Amino acid sequence: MEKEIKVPPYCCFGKLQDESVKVNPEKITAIYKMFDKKVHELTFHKNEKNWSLQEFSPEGKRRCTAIIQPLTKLSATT
Amino acid sequence: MNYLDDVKNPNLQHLRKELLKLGTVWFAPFPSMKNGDISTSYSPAGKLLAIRLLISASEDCKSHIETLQGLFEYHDPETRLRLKMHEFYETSCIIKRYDDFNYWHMAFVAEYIVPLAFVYDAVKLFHDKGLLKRNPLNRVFVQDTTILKESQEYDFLLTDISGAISYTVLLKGLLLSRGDFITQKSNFEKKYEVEVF
Repeated sequence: MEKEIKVPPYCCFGKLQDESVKVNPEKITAIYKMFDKKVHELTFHKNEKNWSLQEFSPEGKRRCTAIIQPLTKLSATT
Repeated sequence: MNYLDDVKNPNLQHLRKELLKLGTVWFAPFPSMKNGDISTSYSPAGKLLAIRLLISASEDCKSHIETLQGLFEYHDPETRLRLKMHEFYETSCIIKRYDDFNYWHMAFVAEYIVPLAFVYDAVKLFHDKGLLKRNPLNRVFVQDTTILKESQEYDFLLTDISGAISYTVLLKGLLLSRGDFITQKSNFEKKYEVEVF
């Protein structure tokens, strides 16, 4: 059985917008807001089994993206 | 993200600006990897911050302490803010005057550990509860928890008390016992040659 993936209720600057969680066969995405503005978009990539986190400025510009690998995967490669 | 550039991050600048609208809130610089500091990030919080509310033992103190008694544990289902008081202790402020005479003032510190995403909600709660009303000594400290293991002295300028230049306050290290802090506080008072009453 596939392990259920849950998005965290908050992430760095932002709080989860429950209605923003979208699930499709490839990925799960969630939007996090601060002062009603999108500051992060968190994505779980089902095939790669990793997370990416994008940060947006208060003006809505994409600033950077971080790829977050599960710890077990990192351990396996070291 | 993994590392927050304290100077360049626009979200951090925005958050600092909004916090200042609530009162005397000092959001300390994050440790800088460029300066060789160790920076610790957590998942999913990014940063865990200590919010330390300094309450002077002035005329409003009794009502502030009563308010804080209702904030030992707090949950707001709307903002999803969950607070639990990590520490509450008495400390000393040393007020420095133009005539080189220092005098002692008692103060209290309520301390909470909060993820970055909830810092604004926590400070806003203190504001809404009347805890940030203008008082020259009262102040909120927002600091990265990873650099607060040891006690530290903090200096701030004073413009609202006649004859006073600045004040120094000693805040307890997060990992320090209360007994050790009492000794440190006593040494702090001796160093500034103040009379404690």
